[in-house]
This record gives sequence, C-alpha cells and structure tokens, in this order.
Amino acid sequence: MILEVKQLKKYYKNIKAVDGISFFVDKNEIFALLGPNGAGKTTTIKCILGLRNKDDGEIKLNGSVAYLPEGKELYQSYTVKKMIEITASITKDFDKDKCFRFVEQFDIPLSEKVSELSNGQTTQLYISLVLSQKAELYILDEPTWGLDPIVRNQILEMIRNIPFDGSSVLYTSHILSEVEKVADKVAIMNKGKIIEIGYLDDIKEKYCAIRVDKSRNLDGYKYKSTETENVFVVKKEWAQEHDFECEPITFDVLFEAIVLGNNSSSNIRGEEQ
Amino acid sequence: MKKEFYDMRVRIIGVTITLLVLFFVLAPFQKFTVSMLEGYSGNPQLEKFLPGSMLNRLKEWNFYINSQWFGKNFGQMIPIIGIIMAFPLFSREIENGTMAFLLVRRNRKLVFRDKFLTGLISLVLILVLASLLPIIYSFLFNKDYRYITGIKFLVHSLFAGLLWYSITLLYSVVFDDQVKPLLAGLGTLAITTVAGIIKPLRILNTYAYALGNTIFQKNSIDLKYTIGVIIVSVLIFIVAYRIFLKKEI
Repeated sequence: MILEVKQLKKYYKNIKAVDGISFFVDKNEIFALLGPNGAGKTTTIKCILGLRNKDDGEIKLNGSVAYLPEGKELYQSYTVKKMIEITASITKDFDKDKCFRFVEQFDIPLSEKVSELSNGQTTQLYISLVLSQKAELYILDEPTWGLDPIVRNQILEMIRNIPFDGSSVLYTSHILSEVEKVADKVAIMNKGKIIEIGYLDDIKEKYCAIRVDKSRNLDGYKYKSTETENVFVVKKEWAQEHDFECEPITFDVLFEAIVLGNNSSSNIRGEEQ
Repeated sequence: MKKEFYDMRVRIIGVTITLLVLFFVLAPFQKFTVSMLEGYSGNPQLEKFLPGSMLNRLKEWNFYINSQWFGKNFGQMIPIIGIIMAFPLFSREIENGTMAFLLVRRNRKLVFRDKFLTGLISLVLILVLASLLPIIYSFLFNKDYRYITGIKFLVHSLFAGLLWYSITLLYSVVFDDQVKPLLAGLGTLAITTVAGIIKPLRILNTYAYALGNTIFQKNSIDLKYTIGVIIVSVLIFIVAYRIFLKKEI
C-alpha cells in the first residue's frame, strides 16, 4: 500500500471540508477521488501533502510523491527552459531530458515565457514537469483542466501508463468520462464525506434505478421526478428484495444521483419511508 | 538557493545600482557641495540648519563622507534595503500560487533556510559593499580616511539592516500577498521612528542607530543596542520560522 488515509478530518470553523474519510491507494493502482466542486477533494490532497494541517485522523505515505495542483501556477517570469532547469535543481529524481522530450512532444517553445503560454500549454508544461519526476505516487488534481480533447487523451494515456512503471496515481476529477477511462478504484466524495468507494465496475454493478409512484417516497438517491413518478437510484440487492423492476444505470447517472439526490445520511440503504 | 538568487536578481541589481549612483553623485563633489553652501553663508535661514562650524567640518574628508554617506544618504536607506530584500521572499510565492510547487519538492525547513539565507546573504553583500565604498574610494583617490570609523559604521549598517530584514521577513511569512508585507514593513518603520521622538520611547527609533549617532558623538559602536538588535532579530526569525512550519498553503 502506497497511501493510507484513516478518519481524516479538516474543518474550517463550522465548515466540515473533510469529515472523517478513509481510503487507501495500492501499488500500481489508479485511484480516483471524484466529486463536485467543494466536495473536499483538493483539501484531502493538501492534507496528504502536508500543505494543510489536518484536524484529526491518520495519513500514512509510503514513498515519494509528485504533485500536480488544481491551479497550475508556475513561475510567470521564467522561460520554459529556465522553468525546467530550476525544477531540475530543486526536485529529487528529476529526469530533465525526459521533460524536454515531453515539452517538445507538446510543441511548447523553450524560449517562451511561462506568462505567455496559454492555459492549456501551462497545464501541459506542468504535467511534463510532474511526470518527469520519478515518484512512487503521482497526485494529480484535475490534470486535464483547460485542455482540448486531443491533448486530454494524450495526457490520459500518459496517466494510464504510470502504473506500468511501478507507480500509483491518486487522481481527482469531476469529469466522469475521464475517470471511467483511467481509474481502477473510485471514491465518490460529497460535502466532505466519501459516499461510495470501490472498483468502478463493482460500484456500477451495485446500483440500479427504480421508478415509484409519486405518492411513495423512498429514502434513496432521488435521481429525477416525472409528472407521475420518482426515479430513485438504490442498491440493486434492495430493489430485488422488494420486487422493484431494476433498470441498469450508467456511472454518470449514479454520480449525479449520489451528488444531487437526497442528502439523507442513510440514503445508501434505499429504505422506504 | 540557485532559484532564490535568480528570483532576487532584479532587486539585488536595482538596489546595488541605486547605491552606487547615490555614492558617486556624492563622493566626488565635496568641493562643489562646500563651495555651494559657502555661497549661502550669511543667510540666517541656512545658519539655523548649517552653522558655520559645521560648514568648516564638511571641508574635512572624513566628516564629509561619513556624515553625507553613513549619516544621511546610505544611512537613511538601510532599513528600507532590509525591507526590500525581505518583503517578497515568502509572500510572492503564496500570492502567485507557487508555494505548493516548492513545498512538495523540498521540506519546509529547507525552503525556509534557502529563502532566509538568500535574502540575508544578498543584504549583507549589499550593505558591506555600500559601507566599504568610502574606504575603497578613499584608497583609490588618495583621500585620508580613518578606515576604522568606516568599519564601525559597517557594524551599525549590518545590524540595522538585519533588524528590518527580520521584521519584514516575518510579515512576508504571515501575509499572503506582496503588498501587505511591504506596507507593514514601511509602516512599522514610520511608526517606530515617530514614536522614538518621545523620550521614553527613543529606543524604538532605529534610525539613531542606523545613522551611527554614537559613532559621530563618541566614536564608538553602540554595543548595547547592537546586542539588543541581534536578540530581537533572532527572536523574530524564530517566530517566522515556526509560523512558516505550520502555515497552511
């Protein structure tokens, strides 16, 4: 195991940014923290990296880390070449040649100032710097933000290849299609808590949609309402036990239902009210 | 530290050039200055500020260069140089969002050490150069200069600069943008200087020390004040270090 987080809590006065979450990342695994904006993903990562002080809980990190932050801020006054050289001078196990190759591949001019790069190019440069560092865990916070679809696929391919070199990835995103492409394991976060965690296929397999009359209300994830009925996302097992007709759902629907659905603490159970 | 020196290069060069220009519009013009002031002799307004005895003393190289360089131009700039060297050290990284870039690559102790030392080394080099300028100039142009006095001024310059460097470094750690540590540093300098006018609070006026009052009056370093400045500076550095170790990014 490369990373273990146990009962992590981080509060800002009355706001529970991270509220007792636990998960672990295995070696050679891509673990995705998924959630809407403000779910607590970035705060979790910052606590893992020691950039924020945790209020409670335990974080065990068994190896070196390379980090791509959510805000892809680099030194604006440096040229791309200088940025690579300075990064090489302060980063352990940094492969400068590899970084120059990445930058060439992305077609970023070395003599250009960082301030002159577009958002997409800055992200590409930052990713090049991070992936040129040899680390046991790569923490990538919204790595494809601001990228066009072609470059995004290139980056996703690079991320997918990380475990083949013996490293792991902790990855955050709110773009579900991306997560489905790269992640082995997923944790869905909302309002500081992990609501669902496990292998992507297992999670998708665990839930289904049921339709109930509008007069009936379930303590489940209400996905949508029509004029005559409510559509709930509930555990397949529970639906079958109660003779509901189970409709398969996509990961997008499950995510949307979990995040936007009812906010009951017992909503996973799918109990009838 | 390579990165830190690279980041500071504009400030180091800017301050050094300013000081050199300031020195060279002052040192070679002793005769011109004195003759200009003599032209005003007899003017009662000027007599108030520059009595005849003072004018005569300005004709003597040691008094001229010490009073005009250490006691005026360079002396007045010492606290400001300390502030300029320290204010963006940490706050610029936080404001620009690059502090995380550093902290995931190096531990906090090293980041603090590198920033602190780079600023300090730059400050010391600038202050030593500026303090030695009268000695170097006197040597090159065969002026009769008492070097030991220059060394005494150097001690005052270094520790006055150190004090303001430490105060502003603390502000730089505490604040999350560059403007606040600069304003807080300058504000503290203004407040302490004004407060120092009140007799019981005169210890707060660091300008009396920076300009070398005791060297002019007693030809000696103010040892007590120097020790006090060192203690206060070290305490402030420790506080800044501890705050930085816990600071949330």
